[in-house]
Amino acid sequence: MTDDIHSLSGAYAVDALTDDERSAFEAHLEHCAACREEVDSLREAAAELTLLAGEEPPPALRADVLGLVSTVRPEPPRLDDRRARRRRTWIAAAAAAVVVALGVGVGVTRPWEGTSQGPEFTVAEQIARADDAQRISVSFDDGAVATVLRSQSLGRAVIETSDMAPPPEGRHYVLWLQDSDGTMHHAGAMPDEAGDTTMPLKGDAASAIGAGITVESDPRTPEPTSEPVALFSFA
Amino acid sequence: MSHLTSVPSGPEPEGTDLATELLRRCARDDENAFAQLYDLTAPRVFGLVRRVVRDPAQAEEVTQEVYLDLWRHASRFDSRRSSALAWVFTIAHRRAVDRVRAAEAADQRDVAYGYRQREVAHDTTSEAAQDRWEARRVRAALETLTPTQRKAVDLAYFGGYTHSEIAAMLDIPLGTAKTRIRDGLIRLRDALGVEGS
Repeated sequence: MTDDIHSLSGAYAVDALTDDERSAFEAHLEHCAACREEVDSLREAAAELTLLAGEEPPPALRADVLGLVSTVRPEPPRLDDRRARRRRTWIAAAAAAVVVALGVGVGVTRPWEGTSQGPEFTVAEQIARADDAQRISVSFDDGAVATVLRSQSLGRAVIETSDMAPPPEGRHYVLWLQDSDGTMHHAGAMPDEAGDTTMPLKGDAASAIGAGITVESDPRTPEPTSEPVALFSFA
Repeated sequence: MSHLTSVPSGPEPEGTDLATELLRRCARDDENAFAQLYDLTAPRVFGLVRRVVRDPAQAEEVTQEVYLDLWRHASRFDSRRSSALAWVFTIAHRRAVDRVRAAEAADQRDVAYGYRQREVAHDTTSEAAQDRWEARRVRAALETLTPTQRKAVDLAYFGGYTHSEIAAMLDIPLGTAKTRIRDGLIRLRDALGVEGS
């Protein structure tokens, strides 16, 4: 499935996908930096092909276009974009702090084994397509990446992990949603041998201000008993 | 009616930087910059659109849409993700493809028939355009593609067809066309030495 969708990058770059395929691939792009980079580079290459198609437009077209534009105002930058940029900067700092915490925290060696993405993938796709989708990634020292996708309007969040090491023997990764007064709400325990995993967080992701992962001996603990190994701020 | 003529001077070596600067000024409501951007890019935008939509009158309409879009959304250009020229031509290509797909949906045109019609037009590329050094450089890069990759890229980019339509036209398995497009574009990219940002 992953290989399959990755191979659509070329067709996507030159608009050779149907609308459905395009939507699916754009959802994939939300969390695949490799594909985003590849698409960008292939578009640069395809743009060079226009050198083979040069054709002087009718002179009247220039006057039409300039006349048209004089009646329309350019849109200002989207504020969402600027907020997103600031957020990414902030999260990068948070991630660096998390990496330090991990160094003295749990020893991490083995990646989880994979299982199916199942219906959860659909939730991830829905969130990725939402106008207010947020995507917050935390990188770990060993190359593992955990990403939380959240849409406030949908009230849903999912976590995606890649190459995440297993928790220490007899312990479990537990997910939390933090509400605005700081209370942590249990949002599910991750499967110990689930490998590269996508799973939805339980609870109300609309009012949450952040999510976190802790390592717990009791996967059903009503509150966290240790410092988080990863934090995802929705601010 | 428009006809094929020589391509006026395209972007200079500093054309990319110039286009970036012009787009930034457009985002600040600078109509002079927009006029310069038009002069810099219009032959390639119009030529691309015309190759895809074929009909000159429709090509003019789509070109107008493209420039209106560029003017309105100049602030969305992100120089970290693409060059200014690639951004312009990406928007132009998408608009052109949207137009032919909408037309196809409207008249349910037979794909194979459209393909034969378009094939003829492909061979009428301006001699002058081919003589230009930059065009020669691109042609040389295209030579590094296999003939089947070249065909798939051509049908996708200038034909405006989906990979599934291309598979049907070339009578190849469904998954093969997308692979040829991707592999072909990767070879083109590597031969041209272009990089993503």
